[in-house]
Amino acid sequence: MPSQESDRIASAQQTLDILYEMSQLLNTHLDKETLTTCVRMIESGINPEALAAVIQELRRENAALVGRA
Amino acid sequence: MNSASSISSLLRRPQSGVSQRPESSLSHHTIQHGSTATVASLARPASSASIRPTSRASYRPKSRQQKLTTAKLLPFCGDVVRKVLGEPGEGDDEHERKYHEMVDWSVKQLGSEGSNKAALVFDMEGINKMVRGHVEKARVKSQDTLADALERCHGQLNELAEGEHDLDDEIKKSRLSAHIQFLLAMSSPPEPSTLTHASLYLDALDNPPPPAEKDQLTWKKILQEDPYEGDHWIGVPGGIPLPRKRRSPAYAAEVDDDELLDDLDTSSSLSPLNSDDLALDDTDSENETFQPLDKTPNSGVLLASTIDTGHKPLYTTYAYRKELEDLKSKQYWQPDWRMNSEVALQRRGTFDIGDASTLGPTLQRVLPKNMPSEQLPLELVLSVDRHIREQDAVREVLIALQGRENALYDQDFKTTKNTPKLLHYSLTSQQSLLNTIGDSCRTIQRLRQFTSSIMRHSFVVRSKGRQTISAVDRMRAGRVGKITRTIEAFADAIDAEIILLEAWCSNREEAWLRALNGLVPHPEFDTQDAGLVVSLLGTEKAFRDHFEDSFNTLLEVVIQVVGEPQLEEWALPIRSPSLTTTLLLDTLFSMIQQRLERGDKITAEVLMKVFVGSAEPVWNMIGKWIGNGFETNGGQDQSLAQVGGELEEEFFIESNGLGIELGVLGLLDPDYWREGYSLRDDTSSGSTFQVDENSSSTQTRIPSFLKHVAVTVLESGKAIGLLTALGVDMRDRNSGEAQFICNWEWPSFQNLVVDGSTWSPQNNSTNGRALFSVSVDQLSRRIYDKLTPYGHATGSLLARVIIEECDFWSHLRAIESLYLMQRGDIISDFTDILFAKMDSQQNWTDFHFLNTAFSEMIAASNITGRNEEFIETSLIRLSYQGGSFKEKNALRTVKPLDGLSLEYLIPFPLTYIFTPGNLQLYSEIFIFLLQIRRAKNLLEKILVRGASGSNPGLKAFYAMRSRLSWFVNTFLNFLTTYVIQTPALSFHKALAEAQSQSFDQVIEVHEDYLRKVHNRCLLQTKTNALYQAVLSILDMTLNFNDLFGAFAGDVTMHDISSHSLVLKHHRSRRQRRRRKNTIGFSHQMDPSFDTSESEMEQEEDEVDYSYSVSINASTFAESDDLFTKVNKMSTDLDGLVRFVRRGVETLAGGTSDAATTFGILAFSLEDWDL
Repeated sequence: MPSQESDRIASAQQTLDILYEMSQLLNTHLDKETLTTCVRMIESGINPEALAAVIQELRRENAALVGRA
Repeated sequence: MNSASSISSLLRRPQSGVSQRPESSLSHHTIQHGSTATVASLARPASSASIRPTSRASYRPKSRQQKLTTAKLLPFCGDVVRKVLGEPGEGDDEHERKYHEMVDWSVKQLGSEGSNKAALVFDMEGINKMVRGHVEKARVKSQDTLADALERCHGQLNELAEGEHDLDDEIKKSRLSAHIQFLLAMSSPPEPSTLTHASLYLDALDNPPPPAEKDQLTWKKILQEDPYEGDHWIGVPGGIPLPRKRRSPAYAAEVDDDELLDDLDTSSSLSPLNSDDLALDDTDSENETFQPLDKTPNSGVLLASTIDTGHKPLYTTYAYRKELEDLKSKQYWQPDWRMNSEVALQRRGTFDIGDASTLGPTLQRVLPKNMPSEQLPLELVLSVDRHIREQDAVREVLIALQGRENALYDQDFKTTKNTPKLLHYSLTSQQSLLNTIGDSCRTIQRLRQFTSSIMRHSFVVRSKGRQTISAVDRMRAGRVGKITRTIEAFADAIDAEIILLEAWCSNREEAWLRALNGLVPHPEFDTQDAGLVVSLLGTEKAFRDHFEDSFNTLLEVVIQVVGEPQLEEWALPIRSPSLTTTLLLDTLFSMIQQRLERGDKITAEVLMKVFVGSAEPVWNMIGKWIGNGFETNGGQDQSLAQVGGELEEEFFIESNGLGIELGVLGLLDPDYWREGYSLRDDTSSGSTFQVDENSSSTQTRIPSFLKHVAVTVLESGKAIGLLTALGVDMRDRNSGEAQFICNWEWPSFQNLVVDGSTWSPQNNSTNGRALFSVSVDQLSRRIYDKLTPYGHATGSLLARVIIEECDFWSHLRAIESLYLMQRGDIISDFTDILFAKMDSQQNWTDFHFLNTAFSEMIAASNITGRNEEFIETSLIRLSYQGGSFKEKNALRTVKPLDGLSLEYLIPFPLTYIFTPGNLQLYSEIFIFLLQIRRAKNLLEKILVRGASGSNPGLKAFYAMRSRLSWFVNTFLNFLTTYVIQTPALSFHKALAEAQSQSFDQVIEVHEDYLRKVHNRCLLQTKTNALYQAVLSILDMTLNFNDLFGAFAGDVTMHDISSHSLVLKHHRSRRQRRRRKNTIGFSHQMDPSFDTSESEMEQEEDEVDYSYSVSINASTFAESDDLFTKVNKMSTDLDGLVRFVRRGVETLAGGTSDAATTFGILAFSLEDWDL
């Protein structure tokens, strides 16, 4: 693996770790995979607020779904 | 379905380079913490979602931009929705439908709104604010852990954001704010698990995990492996032989290490660690060479192992080793340390006058070699050839002064054979210098041992607790000596001095260390800008200049007070605590005086500081004593009282235990004021502590610097105590004294000494060392000035309270009226009744009769008299305490009146003035006056009116009568006017003055007055002869009365004032019979005058009690006999009066106040001859 790329990955890994810690501390209930996806989405230009709103909505839907089931 | 898949394939985003790489097995797994593969998978599209048929929404006509966005979003959204909704079960159509719905919805949401509303993204500043808000919130909720964790986490993110920006980063730093914003938007209130996580997170941050060990090569692993395998076995004896090509550089062992490493560097891919740079970080250590621990150059074997992966412990590196060796080369104190130049110098061996370092070795070399070793100085024979630099020696000396282990001295601060030498010193000079310093070190060390011993003793006492010490313990403590506060304070003050010394040593060391690094020398040690010279001699001199003789003197004091220690353990002195305290303070004080006289200023200052520190406890005790006075609640606090009251044993004022057993009653004891508390100036008490009576009997218990105020202190404390006991509240009073006492502040002894001490410029330069440059006289003066006003205030306040508020004047007036018979009306009324009773031979000593008669008189006078002359009858009691009652004696002598006593019940605080002893004196005066009055009364009854010429015998009687009454009247007049009235007037005046001074002054004035009156009534033992003579004259009066009664037949006919007329007809006979009794008055002027006593006894024997029939006629024969007796009596009287006159003249001979008074009497008695 070219060292430059591995450096980048390591750096991203570090950032992601810290973000994950932050999410834990803020009690966001996001697991690491979801957070990774979310980070990617935000990186690709999605508005974080909108994304948050969508996830909250999805959670509500899910709760409703589970409740119906 | 086909169409769907084709569209879906259209939507597939262009694959990045990352995604083209072969899928690793990791990429499908759940992302693991710390795995680098996780992030790599970020780039990969979610495969399953991307090939799945999309919903109808995707058919909608879209702009190109939208299509692109949707295409990009779809896999993400699929992922997210799946994560949130969970994996559908098999055949769960409902779930599947919902899933697609949701994906569509979210793509729409995010596609249409999300991208358009990008403007809403906050910048980093806004995010920071929001995070701070969260932190603040957590703090408000007392979730400090969470707040800390958030802060640190955010800090880390900020660091990241501020770091280098790499456009190719997977996660762009510029978008970090958006990420945090997203997290903040997602945040929900913390749960317990969040808090736990926060603490775990903080813990992990504080204790970073050790580097993974799996790749680390340790000796353990090497040894666990099978032998002869692995690279590290190459070259080991018995291991794999070295490859040929490596052998040659590895065996180039003779060359320098650096060269060897250069070789290694070129021949292998090993670490190029040929520099001394020790910035060894992790990246470096990854490629480090494994170096053998022992790199002895002559070992000939070098392990040039080639370990290519993993960390190696730091100590295995060459740089580490080199650093270690470098450091060791500076450790001049190691026994095997050698000065670099030493070898060369000694080899050269010649003496060079320009090089001081050649002196020592040269001198040693020129010592006679052939001399037998016994004749050589011992230290030379024993000493080893080890030299150290002088600055190192200075450092060691400073360390030694601080009492620590050092290279120069052993633990007794003596040089040993291992003591290194200095190159430019001769052995003797070095020895003498080190010995001098060693002596100082020893002194200081002994002082250290003393302080620690004292502290240990004190700790033991404290831990046991003062209150719970049993009697046995106390006895044992008596044997081993007692810890006193003063000794503790003394030890503490010494300790402070030692700490100063240690600080001084550290500063010196710091100064030369700074100088080594090129810093300016410490200003304190280099005032003249001459640069810093570090030399042994200079250090020794500086030490002497700075501390002079202070430590030696302190040790001297310690030894004087405590005695020589046994085996480094200083026992406490076995004497009474107050004696120890006094001895300690006095010794210190006299040392200060000595030093001041010698002009040894620095030592005197140090001693003064120690003295001030040591005197502080006693000073505080004084403060407490004069602030609170004695405790009057002894009854309530028995436990405290039994231990010895509230006063410390070392205090120079002691409680005599009066009133401690009785509680408040003790206070009422008239002796309480005088004796309840006293100065410990007698050495007899507390002798249980004295081992050597001779040495301690001459020692006082009041520290000499407090001697001049000791009485003031005692009186102030008593005054305050009594004021408190009387319930006087200072704050309610407006008088100046009360205000003064209220505002009284007790300064610490140090403040007292420092206040107003002169500050001279040179004092300032020595930076507070000269704080106590106060002289001994100034100190005494200052103590006096501090204490005296307070003593005055308390004394005068108490005196005023007692005199003005305790009815002092009315009681004094009552006492004067009764005892000193100043109220003639009451007394003459009473005496009339009393004498009539006596004359009538009735039992006049009856308790009820006496008291009824007396109180009736007083009550009568109270009714008629003015208000201020009111006398409380209930306070007065008359009683007769004489021997068996003899009626007849009352007629023949005035002695029976002695048995009468007049008691006056004095209320509480005044009992301190009118003590029982004083009242006894008053009573004696009263009796004497009563006896004179009795005589006078009898004489006055002998009155025959008219026809006096008819009987020639009567002339003799009247002559006698007038002579007697002249004397009695003159004497009584003298007593009432000059002995009682005049001093009383001056006493009242003196009292008014004393009142403004102190209560003790009042007591003293009163006693003075009373003593004066008592003495002038001839009642003191010195004038006993005169007193007896006067009594004889009085007795003579009674006898004369008898004679006259016999002569006149019936005296009662002349009695004009007698109230009682009983038994008058049967008396003449008796009286006549009695005439026969010879009354022997002593003619010789024997001062012992014990005749009256024996006389009474004789009479008792001779006289019979039978009453004969009265014959109411007298013959001339009897008359002749009577005249002879009268004449004889007259002669006797003449002798007695002359005797009294001579005595009084003698008394009048002096120059005292009494002499003038007696002069008056003597002058009056001159008239006797006329």
